[in-house]
Amino acid sequence: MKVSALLKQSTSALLANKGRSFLTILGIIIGIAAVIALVALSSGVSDNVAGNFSSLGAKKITVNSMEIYAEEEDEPEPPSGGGAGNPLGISSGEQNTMRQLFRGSNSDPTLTAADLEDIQNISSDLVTLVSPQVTNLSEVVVDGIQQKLNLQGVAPAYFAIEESAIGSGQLFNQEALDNNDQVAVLSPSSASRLYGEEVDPVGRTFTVDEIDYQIIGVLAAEEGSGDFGPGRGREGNDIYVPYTTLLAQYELENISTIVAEARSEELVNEASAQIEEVLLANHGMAVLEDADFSVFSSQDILAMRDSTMGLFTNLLVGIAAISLLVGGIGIMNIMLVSVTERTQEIGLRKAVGAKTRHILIQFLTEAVMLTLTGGILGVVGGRILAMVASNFVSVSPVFDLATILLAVGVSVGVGIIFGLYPAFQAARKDPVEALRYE
Amino acid sequence: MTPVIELKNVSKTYEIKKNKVTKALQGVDLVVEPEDFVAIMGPSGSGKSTLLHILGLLDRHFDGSYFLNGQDIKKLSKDELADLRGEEIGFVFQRFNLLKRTSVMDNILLPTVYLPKKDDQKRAWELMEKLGIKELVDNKSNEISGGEVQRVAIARGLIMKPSLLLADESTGNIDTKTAHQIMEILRQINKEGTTILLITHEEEIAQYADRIIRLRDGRFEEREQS
Repeated sequence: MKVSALLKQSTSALLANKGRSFLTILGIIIGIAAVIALVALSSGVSDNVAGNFSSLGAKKITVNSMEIYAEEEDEPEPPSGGGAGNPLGISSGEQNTMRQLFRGSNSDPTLTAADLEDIQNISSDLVTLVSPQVTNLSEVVVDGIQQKLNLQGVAPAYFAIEESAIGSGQLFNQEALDNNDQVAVLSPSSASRLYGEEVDPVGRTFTVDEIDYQIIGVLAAEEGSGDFGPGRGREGNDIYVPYTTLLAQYELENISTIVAEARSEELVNEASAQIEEVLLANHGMAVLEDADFSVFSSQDILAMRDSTMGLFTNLLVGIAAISLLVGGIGIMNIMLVSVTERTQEIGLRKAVGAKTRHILIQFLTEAVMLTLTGGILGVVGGRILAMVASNFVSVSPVFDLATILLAVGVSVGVGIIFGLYPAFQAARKDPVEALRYE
Repeated sequence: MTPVIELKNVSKTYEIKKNKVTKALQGVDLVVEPEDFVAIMGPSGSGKSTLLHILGLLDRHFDGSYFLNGQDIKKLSKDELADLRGEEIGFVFQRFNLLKRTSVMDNILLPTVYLPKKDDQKRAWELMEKLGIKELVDNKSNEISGGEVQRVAIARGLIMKPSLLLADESTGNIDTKTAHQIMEILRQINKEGTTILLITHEEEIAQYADRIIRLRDGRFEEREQS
């Protein structure tokens, strides 16, 4: 059988009813376009999130104060494991990470100065930098105008852990910490919020709860920060002050958060384990599940992101499967109509020497050509859709060749699966009956 | 010389209702020698179409024997029958002769899709030249007249150089003048060596054949042309 002639005849058969052919593949086009666009956008989000987390530092370890749910009468027991209470099937470790990510500072911190000191005393072969992070949402007064900003009490090591560079002025040092100096370093956004874009605020003062702070530096603006970071980093509305000053101002003893940096990415898990061991001993607890603190690293967050993206991907696969099923049924329906309409043609073809398999291949080819065209148009449409949507959601879509090839491959598969039955119907026709068909 | 067609005691029965059968052909014997031009005439329901389907290898469920160029067709598989049909038999039907919205050239080349040969295109051009349809080569089948349709169908029937051309009421849908032109063409093709078996109910058309065989109630009444 001549393949070129087969393709030519299949093409002309499909083009003979252009409108019908297009409507037939519309379901496939929409299904593939939706999947391509959503995958491209979710990949964009994923890369953005990964970029933001990696900008936090892959070596970073965060220790948070954490209330113990079991001891809180008005706090519900957090769900654990899968089942009805956990429809997304997220592990308890991931739930813990999520809880830490999405809740605010603990109003009653549980980490102590002794905890900080003990973490600082861990071998520098394992942990190189340690800083407390005491957060207080404060009314900041500049020229009589009040604004709510986060006052972050940190140690100088914090800037190294966060890889924050100074834009103007200077960072505070250990001496400022020891002397409880009332000095502050602003993030670029807090600087512009308090003083506007054009003004360098270094040397100026602001007031928080009747205490004057002198601004000694502004951090450099971070490039490439997107909308999907944790929202508490250098791009947030943060004002950094010596933590000792903040503890003294508000007569606080405990610390809400301690951040540390492992010597290398490979040592992050080992360093986390060491910190956990030290803190469990300090707090007189045996296991982490009972602890009034939590330890997590960027790698934990990335693992949670991967898990969440996995769920999202499964959801997309489900949507795609349903849409392709509907599209495939449409293809089958139209192919069956086509077989009936072309009964005499089938008889004629058999009369001039076509075998059963030739007719089968021809109708199958037409079904596959339909779905392949639908797949290709869907990919093009999906790309356009993602590009247009990216203007509204501030995400750069990421187009992956493997996804595109998979989409086109699945389209071909749909053509084969749903074209097979009509093709069999055509191939099985008795030539005498087919030629007699009115 | 081996006959092109040799039917021995061929019968065909259809079951039209439960326990009710109709005998379309009853013990038919027929021998058609190479280069014969035979017309089979008969009224509606006489068994003409059934005979054509059997002769054209489209129906192999019959009683008796059929030898095409000496080959017992009952011993052939479905695929072998399809090949034999493509190579040895050309068809010219009364209706639905050409593929819709397909060019004249592609219609003529249709049998070669399944049994390609080296000089298909050259042969198609030769046939178009001979049948006076060369200028229609790029026209679609729905853009040409009834007479031209039949010429294209004859060209398609001859593209594989078959030993037998079966024409089923080939002039049934065209005007008298064109019908005679078509019959002249068939006569010329027969003179050049192709065996033709024509099925018709028109006496005037049957006169172009060397032999006329009348079929009535599934049985033959034969007479030779003078």
